[in-house]
Amino acid sequence: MTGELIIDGFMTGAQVIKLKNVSKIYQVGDQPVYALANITEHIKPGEYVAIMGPSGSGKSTLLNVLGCLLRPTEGSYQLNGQEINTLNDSELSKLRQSVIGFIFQSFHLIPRLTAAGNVELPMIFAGIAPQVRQQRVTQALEAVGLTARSHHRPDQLSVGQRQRVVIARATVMNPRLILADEPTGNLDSESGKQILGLLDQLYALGHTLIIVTHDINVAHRAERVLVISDGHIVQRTSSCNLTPESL
Amino acid sequence: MRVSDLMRLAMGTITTRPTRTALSLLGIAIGVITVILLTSIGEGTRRYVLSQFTQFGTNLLTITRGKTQTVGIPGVLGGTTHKLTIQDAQAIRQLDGIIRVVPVSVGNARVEAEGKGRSVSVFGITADMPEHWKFTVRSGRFLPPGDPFRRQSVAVLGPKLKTELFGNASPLGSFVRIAGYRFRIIGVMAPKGNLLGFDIDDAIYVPVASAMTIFNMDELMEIQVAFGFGHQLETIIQRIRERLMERHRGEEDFTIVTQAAMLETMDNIMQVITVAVAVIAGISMIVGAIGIMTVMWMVVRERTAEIGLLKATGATSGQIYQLFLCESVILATIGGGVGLAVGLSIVQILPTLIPGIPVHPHIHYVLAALCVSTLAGICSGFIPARYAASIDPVRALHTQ
Ligand SMILES: Nc1ncnc2c1ncn2[C@@H]1O[C@H](COP(=O)(O)OP(=O)(O)OP(=O)(O)O)[C@@H](O)[C@H]1O
Ligand SMILES: [Mg+2]
Repeated sequence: MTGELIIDGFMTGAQVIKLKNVSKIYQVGDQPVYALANITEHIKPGEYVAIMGPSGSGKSTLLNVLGCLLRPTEGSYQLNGQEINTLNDSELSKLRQSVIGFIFQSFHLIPRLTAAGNVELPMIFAGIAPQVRQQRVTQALEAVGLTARSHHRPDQLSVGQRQRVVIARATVMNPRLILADEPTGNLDSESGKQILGLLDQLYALGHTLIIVTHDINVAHRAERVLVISDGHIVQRTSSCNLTPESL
Repeated sequence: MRVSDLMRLAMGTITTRPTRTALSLLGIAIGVITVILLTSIGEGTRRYVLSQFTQFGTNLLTITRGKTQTVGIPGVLGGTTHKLTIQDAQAIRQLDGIIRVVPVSVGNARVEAEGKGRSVSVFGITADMPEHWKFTVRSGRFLPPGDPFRRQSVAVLGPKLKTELFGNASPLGSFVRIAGYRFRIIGVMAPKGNLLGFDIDDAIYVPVASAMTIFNMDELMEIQVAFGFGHQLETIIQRIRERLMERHRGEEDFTIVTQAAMLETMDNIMQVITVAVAVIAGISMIVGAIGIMTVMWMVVRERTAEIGLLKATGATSGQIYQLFLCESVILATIGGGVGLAVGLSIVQILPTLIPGIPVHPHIHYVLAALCVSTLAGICSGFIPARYAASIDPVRALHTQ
């Protein structure tokens, strides 16, 4: 089973992510557009990596490739030793279900469902029994401090609370890899800090965290920063060495 | 995914937009109502017609002039037609197993009395007619038994004709003129009502020989025959056919119509009508299905971002497909259920709104209507659901 494989990977400290010469090419008219160009990168389990770069440089594309939502046009992507190219669509779905949690800038909460209902969603599609789901929803909402808001619908929550529901949803399946695309982009600085605090907690719990951000203060929390420009990784640096000038 | 979760998720989206849900299933509901209503009327009519026929009993035969199977005009293209006569009727009466024979001659004539006149059907028959057709005499008596060749000038009135001519007064012993011939009234029939829209109360009954004189005819219109129970229908028909052919110089220039054959023909006609009506009504369900398909397209487009999210969190294309298909099937089934409830209610109250309308819901058509509506749901949900399943999650997450 994939699940065991992954846990083995984490136990042994092998690379969780191996990208080798990965390109993502979009055909716009006759012109090929290299959203990602020849990217080779390894990420270790439990690492906290920030991806930075100008708009249109390919940050989201990279995150979507890492999240198995996009297949690379060229190159190889191994997640926990599994070559993504060899998996079919429904195997990729299973992988996203059990290994990957997504946090979006614009939340993507389902408006007609309560906070609890939204958090429960990934478990429904995974076929988990209702009693187990109940328990895990409670835990996940407690972890983000929203126990009292579990029956509120998204429009009855502040934006900061919404993003906390998203974090609960992203972690409820206990995935090892958490991908966040500008998670604080729509938040005021106070709510942003809360969210970053929660991400720090996940990092402390051993989740591998990859976060796309424009904000240098956000990037400072990561161990490592990758700077992308025009689909290339132009800089790899420890976050302590990161200065506004280096971008 | 568990079936209960699938249903719950699909129901959730249906209940959040009640107005749109109602509108989308309206078409299917109307389709089902139409099918139930029309087939109930069809089935009711069929039963009504059958009951009208069987009220006379099933041991009856009718012998009519001419051979229905032969093509061509008898007497012109070879073969001579022999007239169906009172003698023929008497000969049939002699046969083993025959218990009653009524020679019948029918025409229309003006009946006058008390300065009033009315054009009605004149039945030339014999004393056995009331027993044969289960008619009863209300006052006076029916035509006397005896020699069918006797042209007695006595008549019995149908109740409607009696009221039209004599009002509340007793007509017994009075005289009427039928096409100028004078007849003495000896009885009035009890009301019988309509027979397939033909008012048999608006008639007058005279001896068959008298009727033939009035209409200047030398042959009967038909001979009514009743045979005893315990006799094989086929044997009886064979006996009658042999005897009549013998009398008609070997020509089979008559037709024996059995009650059973008549019933079967009527039943077939009515069934074909009911099925045709059901099919036409079923077509209205296509309109309903298109309604659901339109709504499902809207639903899928509106929820593109949601589909992207579900896929990102691990839902497979198959699960997305199931979810939307399930939604349209639920829509169609609710539509079918609403149509069923409303349709059957209308069938219940229709007779009080329109007295006398024959309605009878037929379980087969009711079930068929439900199946077709569910099928419509599957068909109309199929394409939108497939589209939903094929949505690219990255693009979908970009739409807002
Ligand atoms: N479906 C697509 N078809 C064609 N080109 C695309 C498609 N998706 C992305 N691109 C292109 O790929 C490049 C990288 O896009 P991407 O969304 O990854 O940028 P980004 O770094 O996330 O930008 P931002 O900071 O604005 O979110 C862009 O030039 C974009 O125009
Ligand atoms: Mg982006």
